[in-house]
Amino acid sequence: MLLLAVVVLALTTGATCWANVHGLEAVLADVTENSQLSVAALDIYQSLSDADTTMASAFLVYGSEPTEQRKRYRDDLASAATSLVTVSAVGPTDPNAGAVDELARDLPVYAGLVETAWTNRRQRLQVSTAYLREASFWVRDTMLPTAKQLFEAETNRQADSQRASGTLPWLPLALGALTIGSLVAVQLHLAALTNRLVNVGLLAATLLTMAVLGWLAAVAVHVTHDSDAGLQEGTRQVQAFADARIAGLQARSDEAITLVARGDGAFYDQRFDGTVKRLDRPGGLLDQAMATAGRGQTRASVEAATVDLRHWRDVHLQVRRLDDEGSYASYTEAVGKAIGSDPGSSGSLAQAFDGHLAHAIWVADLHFKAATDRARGALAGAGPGTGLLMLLAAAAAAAGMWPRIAEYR
Amino acid sequence: MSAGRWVVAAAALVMVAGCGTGPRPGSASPGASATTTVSVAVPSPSGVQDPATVPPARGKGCDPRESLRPLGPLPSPAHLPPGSTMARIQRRGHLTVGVNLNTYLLSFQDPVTGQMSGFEVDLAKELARALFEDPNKIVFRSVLSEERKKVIQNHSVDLVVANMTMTCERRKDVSFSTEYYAAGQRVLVSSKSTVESLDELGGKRVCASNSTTSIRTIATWPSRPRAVGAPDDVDCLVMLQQGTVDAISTDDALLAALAAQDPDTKLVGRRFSDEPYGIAVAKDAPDLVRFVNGVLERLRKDGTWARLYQKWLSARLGPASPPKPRYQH
Repeated sequence: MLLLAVVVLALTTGATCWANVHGLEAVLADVTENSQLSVAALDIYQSLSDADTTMASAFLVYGSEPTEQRKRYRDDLASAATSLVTVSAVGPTDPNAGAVDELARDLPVYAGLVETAWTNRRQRLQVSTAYLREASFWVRDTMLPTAKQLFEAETNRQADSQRASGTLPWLPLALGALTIGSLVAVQLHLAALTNRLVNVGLLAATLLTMAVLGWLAAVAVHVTHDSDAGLQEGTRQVQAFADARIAGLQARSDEAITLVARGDGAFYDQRFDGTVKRLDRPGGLLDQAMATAGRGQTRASVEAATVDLRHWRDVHLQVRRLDDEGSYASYTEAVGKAIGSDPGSSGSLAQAFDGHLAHAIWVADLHFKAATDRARGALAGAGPGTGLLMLLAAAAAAAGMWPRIAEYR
Repeated sequence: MSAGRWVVAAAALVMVAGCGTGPRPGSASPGASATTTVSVAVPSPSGVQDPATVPPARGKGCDPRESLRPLGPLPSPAHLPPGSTMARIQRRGHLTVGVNLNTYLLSFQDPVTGQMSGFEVDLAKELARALFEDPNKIVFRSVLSEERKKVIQNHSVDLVVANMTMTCERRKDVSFSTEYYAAGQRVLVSSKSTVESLDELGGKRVCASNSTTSIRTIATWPSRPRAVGAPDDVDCLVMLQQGTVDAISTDDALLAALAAQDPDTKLVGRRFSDEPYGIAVAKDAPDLVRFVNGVLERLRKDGTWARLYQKWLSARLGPASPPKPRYQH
């Protein structure tokens, strides 16, 4: 009966090792997939926001349709649509599927409104500005909040998965210890009984089990460490950088709408000021981003973004002064300062700000992917490996004990 | 011995069970499609009030057309009374006027050239000419219908020329010039509609700009239509085109502006309200009121009003003569 117990214990240990490692691999695969989803969700937000601001600015430019902005808008829509396909990988029963569905339905509505605005503008009809305002409101009020909510949900899910991958495999380790314990007990018992000190089979089984426990412990420590590294460097950074980036996009959009509204945009101007404060004050979004940034590229990017934000704020004051003056000439100058292509325009500075944070996000994502890859590398083969070794241990234990039992009959 | 074999078999089963692939967290089982009803949200312009906030009644106890009589001949730009509001404006170098941006025919901005044009824009330019000799010494500020009183009261503009109906209620907060245009409320529907008046729009959604006399008329009409307010008349046109309102009802001049942008609409019925348009001036500037009335009188007499009306409105609204001024005693 002892043989029974030992063999069952060994086999169960092997089974739980294998299952545990397999489960860990599944969690890590999820973590990788989730990070792709959250990056795609952020891209949807950024593409839509840029499309909205580009269109609002394009309407400000008198003259026939500005082809450069129209192309940029089309590229933004294409990017949003592609990222939407990526996030639809969650499948129809996922809790986030509702948000993805909403975005997929809302996107063509937005495109339709924008095209209607342009068609009416070509005919010089005033209703064109009403369509543009409706399109912009649709993006800001309906689509962007959904995209932001999707991004946050995916990021939280990713963090949860990472936490799950960081737990130690208690059950297999406990069972393994129990197996070793029982093997040692049997060997001592047999030694006392048969006066043979060394039972080759049982010894082999004990050594194999210890090897398996060692392997499992090493892998677990490695994965936990890498998971933590991934969480620290990768996910938290991406979240902090993304928060700052989203605020920047909101500010840029509000600045453009204030100009479009022509004297009627006080609400948007105030919101711009509020957003810039949220970014720039001590302990604000940029400070938080700096706190999570490591050394090297991410730190440099956040610093560059901070510098751009301060320049942008100064140019914005000039734009407001010109717009508030109210004359046709000063308004045209304000528009030029806001959306002109020279690097000193607030539009260019806002874009540089966005670009630096995008780069920081990209670097952070790379770090995260590297950490996840390392973890998966450590896990490679550990499942079947430990399982098979425990099978061998069980066989060795049986081989070692069988003759003694046969003797005993 | 057979018991041993049973044990080995059981152990093997345990191992197999432990290796079994469970469902991965967060992944959906393929083919699990739930038939959900897809609800599609419909876009609407920002700032829509549905139902519309009904502004106060026009008020009684006054003649809404009565304004301040000019005291003597109109002073030329070189001879404006020192210390007057006009002199102050002249010193500043330009006249600031609150107007609509998107009211075709009355005051609108060409989206391609950026130029401001329209009947009210031209009137405002005549006022600038009377102050500066130069009709282009003028700054236009966009005002929505719900802000017209506010921008006069806080002096962010000198005048508001924005299809503003003179009422006793409004005269409590701002001063008005004499009448510069006589409008009346009508109904705009899509060309395939059989509706002829508000009587047939009971329970239906009828749009006008926020805080206008039109909203109040719709909301208090016996047939009980549902008044929907929008920041701008063109927003009403968007909603009519998208099918989220059934009709637009406001001043005929404004409806003409909308009909001009959409040949698939028609103006129906007769005028059923009295909407005298006046230029709004701050209450603390009666000298400016008299000055503006003097300019308006000149425009009536020297044919400028008729010329401007001919240029912008007569084709769509038929012939009209300048409204007669009424002065307080």
